[in-house]
Amino acid sequence: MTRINSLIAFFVFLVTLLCAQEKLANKGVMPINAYAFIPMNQINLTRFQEVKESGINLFIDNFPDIVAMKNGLDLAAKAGVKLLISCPELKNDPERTAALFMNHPAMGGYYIYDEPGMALFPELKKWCKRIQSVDKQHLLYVNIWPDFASPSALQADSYKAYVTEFLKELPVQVVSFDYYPVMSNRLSKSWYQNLELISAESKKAGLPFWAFALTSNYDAEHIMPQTLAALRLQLFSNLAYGAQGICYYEYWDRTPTSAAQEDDRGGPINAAGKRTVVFDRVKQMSAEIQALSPVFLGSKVISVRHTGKGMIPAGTIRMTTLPKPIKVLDTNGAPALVSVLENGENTFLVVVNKDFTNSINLTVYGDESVKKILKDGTIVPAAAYESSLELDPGDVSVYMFPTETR
Amino acid sequence: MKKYLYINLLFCLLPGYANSQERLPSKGEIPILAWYSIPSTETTVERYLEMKEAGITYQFNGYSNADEVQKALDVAQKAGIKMVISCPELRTDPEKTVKRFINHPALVGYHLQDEPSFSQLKGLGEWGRQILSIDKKHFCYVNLFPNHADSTQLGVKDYMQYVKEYIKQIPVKFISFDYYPIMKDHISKTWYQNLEQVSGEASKAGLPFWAFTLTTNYDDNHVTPQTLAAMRLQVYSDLAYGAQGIQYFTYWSATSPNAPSGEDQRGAPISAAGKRSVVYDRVKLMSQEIKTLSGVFLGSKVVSVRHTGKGMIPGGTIRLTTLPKEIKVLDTNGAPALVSVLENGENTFLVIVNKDFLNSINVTVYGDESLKKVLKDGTVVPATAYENSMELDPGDAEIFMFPTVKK
Repeated sequence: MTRINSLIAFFVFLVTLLCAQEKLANKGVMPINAYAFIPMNQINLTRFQEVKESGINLFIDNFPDIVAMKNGLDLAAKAGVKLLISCPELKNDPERTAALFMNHPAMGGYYIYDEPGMALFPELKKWCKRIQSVDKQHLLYVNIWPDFASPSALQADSYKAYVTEFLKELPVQVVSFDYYPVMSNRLSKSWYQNLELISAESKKAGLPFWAFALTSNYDAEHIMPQTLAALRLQLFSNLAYGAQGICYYEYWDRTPTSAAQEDDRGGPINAAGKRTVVFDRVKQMSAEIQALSPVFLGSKVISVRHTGKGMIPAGTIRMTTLPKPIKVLDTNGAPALVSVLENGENTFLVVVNKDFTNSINLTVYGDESVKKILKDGTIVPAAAYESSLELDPGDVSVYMFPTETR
Repeated sequence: MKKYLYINLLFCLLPGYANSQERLPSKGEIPILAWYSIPSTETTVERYLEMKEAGITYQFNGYSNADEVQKALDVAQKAGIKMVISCPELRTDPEKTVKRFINHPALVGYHLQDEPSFSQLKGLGEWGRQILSIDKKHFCYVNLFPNHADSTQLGVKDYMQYVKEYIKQIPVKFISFDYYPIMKDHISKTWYQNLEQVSGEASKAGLPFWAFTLTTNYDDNHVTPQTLAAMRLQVYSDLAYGAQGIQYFTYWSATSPNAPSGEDQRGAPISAAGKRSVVYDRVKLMSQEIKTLSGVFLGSKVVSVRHTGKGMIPGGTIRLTTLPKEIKVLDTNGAPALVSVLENGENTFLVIVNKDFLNSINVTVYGDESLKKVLKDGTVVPATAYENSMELDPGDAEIFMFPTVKK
């Protein structure tokens, strides 16, 4: 009987061993922030759990006072999400408000301002310094304009001057900028240029950057409802450029209460509080980001290049060389983004299909050290797959090889 | 870098919360059988685990002798896969062969023949009874031609006569038929009629039926590589008609020299060179969806299957003219959809399939307060949590649930 038991134990061990596929090592959780805008009459545990279900782990809501803010944090803690806090008292009495909330388990940071003009920087700096006099630990969140904002919005001579001044003046821990590039039938021309500039400037400043995907619509030009392909293209492009956090704009649709407001629609939750098809897509997108977060989180960008027979976007660099382990990379002329990210002992080749309506054919030949990262984080030898594979619209293909020891 | 580490740490410390969401009751899993799975030369645990990873639960392959079957069964057992076995000895000496394998834990059934003609049915019946006289536990498997097969293939003029004779002659535990309806830009005209015919006859005979999705290509007319939309349309249409098993044709691309009928198969999950194709990942996702939604389909009783849309509905099908009382409005704005009502114990399911495999459609559903929506991950939420009008992806299914009315 002992022999039989031993045999059974050995067999179970063998099966377990064989089933244990190599997976990416977990390095933490990618911040997925949302401009949530959950109406105050909908602030309850069920709604916060719904936020968590969509994969959002941090969000912004404007609370009317400190009591409501405390209630929001308590609910967020129960639901397992964090808040970038925002209430009038944070502006009026930052030290006291920071002291009150800084040790709350759901405290994710301080929401300071969205798209400030340069003239506001001194005032925001003072505000941030007052908060940091009490709490140096938590994030100060200021989101800056994209590069196509008008000079009157930027209040600066150039976009570069605007970004440089922002980094010089504001004691932020991350650089966040918003750009919603996926229109109904094209990509905005300066999006990748903006990514180049932000990733370069944040690198110089020694700061990570966060970037956005549009999850709703506010005009008649953008895609609607957001497709999974459009979401993937935005998010995987951001991550390929080294983004260390993702933001969704927005979660809950706001309807106009005055003529000046945007008619937001098509968000994961509509103005009537119902889930839309985008809720399910955002949920899937969030799951994909977390499964692949060990590729991106804490990575160092070695290079970001563009390829394709058409003109590459202004301000970007054409791919002319490949890492040594990669022998061939061919898209048959289709537009793709090719990024090399170093992350500890492993280096990743990230290829993004820049076409959000059509799939492309991607051919990759590598040496025997090259592995392929599947969408669920499983690692398999690249040789297990065909060398030419269809890549879905906006989607990403990730390869891994050992980091070269210098 | 320090700042990055800190920010990351913040998220590592996120507290969890007890997930008390309602989920579909599980009654088991819809079997997923792969045709032409792993060649005998590739019979290794690694290859079988790779197939299991794609969500395949049963495999079928033709082996040249019983020893190859033995080896494959042993390996399949280690990987947790079951086999429908096939080898010449099963035909030449069924008694000995069945006795050899009857107690193997990886055995699930015996493959007798693919697409037999009418004249072969009687002989297959005798063979099947020989096997069942020794082994009543495992099934005999014979896959039927589709209804577009010509009379020389069928050996009879009338397709229904062919199906009825199959049921009469062969002691099968389920009916299987193959139809690969997704061409590059259209759906074959008689596919849904074939589903009506087979599901109707299966119901009369008190037998379940199994159906297919094409996961490879064997000509220049079908979609290649198979898209997720094309596979979803086939699988969800099969399941909406009550199929109790799904089959993938094929798992491994067979090239001309060793393929049946000399078909040049390509685009399967595993290429002829043994490499995973993009279809491998799509099949894996498809299998996961089938597994997660098994609680809807497995053991379900088909109450009705209807078609809607402003265009002509397929020949032999019935137009949607009434709805279960819990559903107040169902509108596709004229787009083609399949609407099935399945009773499964205490719950009844409304399954809507987008019959367009290239374009999404808009589906509007209003129901009473008992109506719930079944999400792709098996979560059940009140239907009112969602908008009433939702985009439904090409070929995809939307599922609602309400309590079964007690008769």
